[in-house]
Amino acid sequence: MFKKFPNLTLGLLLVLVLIAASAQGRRVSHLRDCDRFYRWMLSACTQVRIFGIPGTTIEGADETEGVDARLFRQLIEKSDPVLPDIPVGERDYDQNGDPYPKIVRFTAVPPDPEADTAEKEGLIQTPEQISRDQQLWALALSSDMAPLRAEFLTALREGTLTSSGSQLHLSGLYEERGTTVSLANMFLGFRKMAANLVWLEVDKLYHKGVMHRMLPLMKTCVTLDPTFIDAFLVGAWHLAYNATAKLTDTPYELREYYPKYTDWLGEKEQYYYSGIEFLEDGIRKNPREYKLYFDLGYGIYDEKLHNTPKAVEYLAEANRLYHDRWVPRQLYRLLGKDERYEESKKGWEDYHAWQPENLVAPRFIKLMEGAIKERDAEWASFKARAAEELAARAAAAGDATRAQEWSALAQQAREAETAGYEAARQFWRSIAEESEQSEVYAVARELILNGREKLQQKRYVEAWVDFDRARWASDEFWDEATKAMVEAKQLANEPLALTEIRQLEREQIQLDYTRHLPKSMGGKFFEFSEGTWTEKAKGSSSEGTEIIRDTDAFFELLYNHPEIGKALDTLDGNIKVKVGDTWLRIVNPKPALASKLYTPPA
Amino acid sequence: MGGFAGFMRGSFSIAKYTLREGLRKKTMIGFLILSILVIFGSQFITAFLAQSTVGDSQADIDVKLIKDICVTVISIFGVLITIFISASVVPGEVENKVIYTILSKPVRRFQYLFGKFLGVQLIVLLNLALMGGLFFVALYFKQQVLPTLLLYSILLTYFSFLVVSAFTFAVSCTSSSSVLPTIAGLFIYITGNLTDYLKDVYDRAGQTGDALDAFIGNVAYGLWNILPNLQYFNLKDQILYLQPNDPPRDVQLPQLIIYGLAYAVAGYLMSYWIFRRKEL
Repeated sequence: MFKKFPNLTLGLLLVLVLIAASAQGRRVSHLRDCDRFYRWMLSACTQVRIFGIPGTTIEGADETEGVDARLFRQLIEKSDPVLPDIPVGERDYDQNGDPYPKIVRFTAVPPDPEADTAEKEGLIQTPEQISRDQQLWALALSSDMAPLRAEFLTALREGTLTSSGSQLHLSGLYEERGTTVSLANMFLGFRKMAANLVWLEVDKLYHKGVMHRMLPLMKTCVTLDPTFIDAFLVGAWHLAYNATAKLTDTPYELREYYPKYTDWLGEKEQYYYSGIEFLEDGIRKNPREYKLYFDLGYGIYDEKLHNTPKAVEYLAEANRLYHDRWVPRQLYRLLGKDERYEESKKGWEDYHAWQPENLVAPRFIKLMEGAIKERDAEWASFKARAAEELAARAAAAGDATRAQEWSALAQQAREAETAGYEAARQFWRSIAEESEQSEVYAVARELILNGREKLQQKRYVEAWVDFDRARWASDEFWDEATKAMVEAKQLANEPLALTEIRQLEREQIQLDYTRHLPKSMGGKFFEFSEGTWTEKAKGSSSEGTEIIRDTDAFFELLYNHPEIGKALDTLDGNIKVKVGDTWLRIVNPKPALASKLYTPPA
Repeated sequence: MGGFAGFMRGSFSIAKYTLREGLRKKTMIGFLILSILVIFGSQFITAFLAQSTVGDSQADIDVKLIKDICVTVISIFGVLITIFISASVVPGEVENKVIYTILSKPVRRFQYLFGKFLGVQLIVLLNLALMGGLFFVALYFKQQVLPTLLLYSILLTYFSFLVVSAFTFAVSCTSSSSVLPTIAGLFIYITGNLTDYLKDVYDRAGQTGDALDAFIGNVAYGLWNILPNLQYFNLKDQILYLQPNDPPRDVQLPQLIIYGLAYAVAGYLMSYWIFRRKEL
């Protein structure tokens, strides 16, 4: 045939090959569309988990009305019957106490210590994450999703989506309006080169010390190249650290309350939140980049705002993703700082099993052991106080048997407290001696415990000396030891130094302003709203059993659950707290103390 | 089989000769040296950045700059080399009349053309290997980790060059000078990168309800279906910046290779169709 009709045969062959190529082109185009859709699903689910809503809204707008929210609702409806069952974890609840949709839980794979051995290119990845990503990709490709996919692509083309991230890069969100391609894009990476040049300019401005001119340039830089992770990281670092380096903390009297951040802010503090917003923008665009979560958690929330529970949340997210090996180390350290000692110790033990040559893990395991001993002694103290109170009440009511019973229990608890503190002191001493006093953490802890014992024995001056030595031994306990030292001085009727008087005044003013701001307490986070402190353990939709403060039931609760003692002692007003699996509403008959922020209703 | 072996042997001889000849071309060597200089120079561009940032971020920015510069350089110089070589091998031989000597021997036109095409691909591959190899080494020295994913990026770059090369080669078969095919090659590259625009035209057409509007939309859709889309090969971000496991990227890679091959075959068939009718 070729010899007879060469042109026809070649023509036909060419047409056939072109049809095949065109069909393949359509397949690739379909895959690219599904790719965009897949990345949007990942990004939107992450945003729901981290920020509460997919995408961003204008302040004051109804967040359920946007295109992102509408598409996300449809995604939930369509994906729910298809995805396998995922158990609702302890932290899988939203702000309203409702469990996250299945697809949100599905995309958040818990970290797998076993998987940490699967090391690649110096980083860590989990097989479960890989498997779920593949299932999600199959879902994005499926014909069931075709109508939603089409709707998503239309919204993307029209530029009405705010939740599409840039790890897509394909989003079109940051491309020029009106077309998805341009001559600039043609010379692949042209925009990236422009972003790099802008970055060089930012660097130059930093060295000139012109901070205020850096911010718009940094924003330009990440708009040109939303995958420029380091621009987000270094930009936030400039904002939170360098821009504030020469500023002093704003006195509370000069601060303004920002309901958006639930905090009182001055000029310096606003920079911290600018840094946070810059990193949050990075997370929206690159939801799978652990460094953004790490810097947000550790760099700003922990180091600058001292909000350890929030820092732990972000570090836990970084640890869940494809991460470097220092991420879990920092997470476990902060878990300890947040008084979640058992979790921290378990984490360090897993880490030690994985990296036996690491010298930090065995040290922290020991420190956590000591902290647990101290914490147990503190709980015994709460128990003793509760039992003593119950014994006194029973005696006053004429119930001698019960009074005797409670006295015996109080005695037991006091003995446990003394033994606990003694065990903790011995433990710290042994570590300090083993290390020839170079383990300053243990040295400082022992001195603080010694000081406390001397306070009880009314040896105030000696206690004061111990606390003073402790705070110089390790700056980690500077605040705690200083506070105790001032207390000892006051008890000893010694005059306070001028700086100490000013510090007490500042603390009082701060308390006036922050009495009703969210607080971290013994590894738990409490939020204040409508006159009640609520533990931010999610899933608190039920009303809970009511217990009136300073009643027998209240002290019995405290005796049985000393772990809530610290919160009950510190937080003012009514508290809603989770004890075991039950929610309790602890009602204070006295009105909450007024603060600058909150005035109880008349 | 003997016939096929003979065909391939002949084609390889021509390809080898084309490669040797191509390596002597001053333009190509000039582009290659320039690109290698820039890739090598990317190591030092980070010197503009004072050591201001924390250690890790500084190193990461260095790596990012190297990646961006090298990817851009490989794309620009790579496509220029591809176009110049594809546009000049056949017209060059027509111009210096070497083609008459070859075709007077027992070499079929298909075999000759296949050899030439193969030779062009060898030159492009060699250039890419040199540039990519240097990029690989530059990254390795910065990261101290073998950037294996980079190989996928270079592979995809090659397949986009293959499409440009095949169609430029087809145009070069119509011409006796390399100027027209070179201009055509650049045009093919630009058009190939703007194909997505046709889809946009189609998506936006029909909004006025006007028949002409709808007609333009349909024509754009037809062209979008037929013309190769070089933007599809632009998976570099996913390859260079995302985590190693990324299902969409892994699925798209082989599909893109098939896509590139299909258009390369179409381009080659077109060149043969033109070349067999050429009066020589």
